[in-house]
Amino acid sequence: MLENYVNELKKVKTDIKELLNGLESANTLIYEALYECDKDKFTKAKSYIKNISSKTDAIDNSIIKLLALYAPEATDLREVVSYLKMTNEILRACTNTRSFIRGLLEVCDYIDKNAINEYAMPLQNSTLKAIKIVNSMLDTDCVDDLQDCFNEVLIEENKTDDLYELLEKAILDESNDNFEKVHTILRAFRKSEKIADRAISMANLLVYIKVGGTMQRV
Amino acid sequence: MAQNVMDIKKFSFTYAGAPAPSLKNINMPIEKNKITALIGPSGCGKSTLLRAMNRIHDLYPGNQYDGRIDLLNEETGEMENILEIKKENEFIRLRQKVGMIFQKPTPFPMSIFDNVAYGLKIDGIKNATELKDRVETALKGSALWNEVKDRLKESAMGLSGGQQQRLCIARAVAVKPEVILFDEPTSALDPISTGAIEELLVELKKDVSIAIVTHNMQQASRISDFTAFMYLGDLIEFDKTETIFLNPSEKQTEDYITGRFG
Repeated sequence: MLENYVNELKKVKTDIKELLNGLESANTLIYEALYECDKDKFTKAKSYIKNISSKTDAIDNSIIKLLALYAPEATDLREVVSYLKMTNEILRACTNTRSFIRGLLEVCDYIDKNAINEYAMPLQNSTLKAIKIVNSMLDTDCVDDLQDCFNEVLIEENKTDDLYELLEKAILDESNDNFEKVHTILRAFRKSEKIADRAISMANLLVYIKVGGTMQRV
Repeated sequence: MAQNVMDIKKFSFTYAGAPAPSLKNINMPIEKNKITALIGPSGCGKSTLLRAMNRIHDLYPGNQYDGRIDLLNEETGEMENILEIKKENEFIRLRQKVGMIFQKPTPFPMSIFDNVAYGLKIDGIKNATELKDRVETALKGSALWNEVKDRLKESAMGLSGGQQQRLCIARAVAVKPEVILFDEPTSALDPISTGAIEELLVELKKDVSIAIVTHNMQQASRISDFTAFMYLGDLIEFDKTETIFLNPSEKQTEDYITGRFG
């Protein structure tokens, strides 16, 4: 492959890595801020994912250029197409993270500490782990390691589904008929679960690059 | 700031005895240290234009040139119209400044060393050490040195097609041209040799400006910085390669690169 193509693809990968790092940092900060409802940290978390649309647009345009000028094939084609789809997943994960922060800033003072300890923190911890594993997959070349990582992300994503259900039940049991507040709390934590959904889609795309076959949703 | 090594202005060309011009009012630059690709369907005039850039048409009499093709004189910094050249020694100098590589490799029936040294000897270099150094540099610059360094005295005809083409590039590079014109340089080569030549062209543009005619649009998009699309003797569109292949302004260009005609 031509040096120009290799360099431009490397740049796309580096830019995606940078976005994933931002997503990981934002969600790490959310996890740390959750128990104490540290609003400064929540606000700081937002700074890691600002201007995300323009960043993903720039990557998408670079990818379109790669496709138009270099017509990659086989693994190269899978890689470029997967990155194009990944930017959309990252954008939506970041949007979910932003909504999560907004919701938490609004209602975290009102959430029962037991529910936070028992369900909310493990939920966010699983989401965070899923993102971290996806981030590490971007640097992994070994197919077996990638499959293992994918399975780990799948487990974390399943855990977020279950923990969200438990959190929902706990909050509804504790609620004193303030429907609006309960709704806002649940809507906020739903976003954490959605971020994990995006992580599994990204893990799936990263496996597709190396394994091939047909592209399919998880 | 970008500098042009060649500037084609209002250029028209009519072959000897032809009733109408094959090229009509062409205006385009060849930017320094960039690769400019000429694309278009057969008969559009891209090879005719390329061959006009070092007046190789003049090997046969009676052709008619109109307009200007200015070539940068590196020493004076002035642009000089190559269509005004009339003397034989000026033609030789022009072809040293503007080299040409053809579709089919054209090694001379002599040793690998002598092939590369040929142009240098015509240029008056007789010192054996200097000749050796210049040949080695040219072969290294053409990514052929490692493959031939132990058999420089062997016939060039024994090289593979891809190696012969790189030898021809070395022969052109040896005389330190300002521009090299490539007329479908890889159409007779297999994909591996094609890849090697493409990598070589991208490397060469650091030292020399390149114009290439190709029927392979992927090749044009992969390696060129600028692309000119020609059709029936007209220059339809000239722009950055990225623009031509992503957002062409002319419908004819879009139809051609998307395979709707041509």
